[in-house]
Amino acid sequence: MLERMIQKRPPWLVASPGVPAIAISTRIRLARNIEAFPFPGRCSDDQRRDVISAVTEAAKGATALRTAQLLMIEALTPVDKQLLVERRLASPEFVRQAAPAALLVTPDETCSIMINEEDHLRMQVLRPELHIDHAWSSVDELDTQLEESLQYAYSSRFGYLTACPTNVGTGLRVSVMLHLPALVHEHKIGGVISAVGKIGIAVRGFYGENSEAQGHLFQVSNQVTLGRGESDIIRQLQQIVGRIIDHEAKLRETLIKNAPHQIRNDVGRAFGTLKYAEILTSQEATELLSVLLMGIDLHVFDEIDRATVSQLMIDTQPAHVQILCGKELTTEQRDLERARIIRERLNTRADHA
Amino acid sequence: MLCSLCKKNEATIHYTEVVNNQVKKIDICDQCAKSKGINIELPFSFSDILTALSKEITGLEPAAKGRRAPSCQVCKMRLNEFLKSGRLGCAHCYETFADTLQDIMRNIQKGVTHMGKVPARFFDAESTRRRISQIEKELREAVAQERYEECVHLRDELKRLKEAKDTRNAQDAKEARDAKPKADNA
Repeated sequence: MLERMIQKRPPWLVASPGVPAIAISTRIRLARNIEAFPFPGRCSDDQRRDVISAVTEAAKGATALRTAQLLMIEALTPVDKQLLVERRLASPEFVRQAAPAALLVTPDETCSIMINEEDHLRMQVLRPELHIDHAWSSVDELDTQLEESLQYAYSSRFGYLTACPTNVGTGLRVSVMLHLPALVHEHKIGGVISAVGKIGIAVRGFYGENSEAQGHLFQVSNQVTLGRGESDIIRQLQQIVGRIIDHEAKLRETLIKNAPHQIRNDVGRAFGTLKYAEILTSQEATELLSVLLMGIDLHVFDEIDRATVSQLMIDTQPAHVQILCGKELTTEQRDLERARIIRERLNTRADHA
Repeated sequence: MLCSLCKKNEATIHYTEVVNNQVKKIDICDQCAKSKGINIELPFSFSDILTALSKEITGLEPAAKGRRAPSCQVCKMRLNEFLKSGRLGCAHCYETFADTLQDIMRNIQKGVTHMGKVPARFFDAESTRRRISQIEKELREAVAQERYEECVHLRDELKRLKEAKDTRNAQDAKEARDAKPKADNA
């Protein structure tokens, strides 16, 4: 399954043509626990296996998971584990643990459940661009169907009970991935982060908790899960995301108006480096590809199509490079192979253009 | 409220810990938070704060505190352990540590009462009735304190609950009618 996975674009990267490309994808996850078991951190290995069986059994009644496959985390190679993280189907903590855990995932990767992460169930729905309502109705339906056969840990006072009090109540985390090169370029991102932080919205790097921002990609998500209903949480996040998008769009316009040469210079240099570099780290490749994306979005660069560039952003991640090469590689080998993959794709496209 | 460390600036971070059944509160300002290594510009986790501040507040080593603090009867989680890791052990912990959690929620969440989705099996008339009266109480408080944004949320939730209750009552009445002939036959 994992080999097949890599031949496709992740669903959250499939952008429709012509839309402003600032919002890359929307993810909604719900945290749930089964009443009959302690939270995973306090489960024995046998109990954790029982949780996996119970969730897998319940999943048979869920429409969205009809075609889902079960991956046992202990059976995966380190590269496969990293691949799941890069494709945003698993958290780094989830694949790192040695105790029994499993991932239920549909072949199109839009719907998945991490079983025995910090909570028994972490179900998620991924959608391209900004489609919060759509993602919410999918995950809400999935949750309701699972609940028919699972007795969730719930109290009328605290709502859905989770291992960490930061998730209790709705167990809901809505997160939108935004591409914000202009805000970063103009040093305005720090202000945005602290402003939205004051009203319970977090801005994090690509891979969520404790991760650094790479390639000007940021995840904006709600922090509050208790004391507000799902629709309120969603409405507030939608408003904030809308404002950040407007801010970025306006700043991009200003940049191209006031500093066209600077922008063309940045984009041209990024393209030059990507096209001719012999060694590229994951970090550098992501940053440069992000600058190319901005160039395409600002119509100052058209030698490469947007889909090729966004595909490279995921294909140049460490596990993707290794699977594309069909073998495990050291960091140094990866940096060589990454540069080769990028050169090949950019040169092929450029020649045809 | 002034910062409990420097006693000069306005406190912006409010933190509560329970040691030996005694509630200890600390309110600190941005600057002191920074000097203690908590970056308030970035999202931080609850456990980060607990770890960074636990010595500051108690002045005691973890082993010495919480000796007589409550522990969970089901999973044996001790209050100490929870405060250190920021993670609860099981659903029952929410009852065991309800008071501490109530204080924590006040600081890290928007309220202390669940306002969202309810699993079907909990959606009986009793729990709805209880939630309606709870929310009516919160609404009165919010109105009195002129917290209008919250009033709107509470009013919406109240409306939703009352509608759900009416639907449920209608269903129950129908089920009772449907069930009657069978009972007669039996």
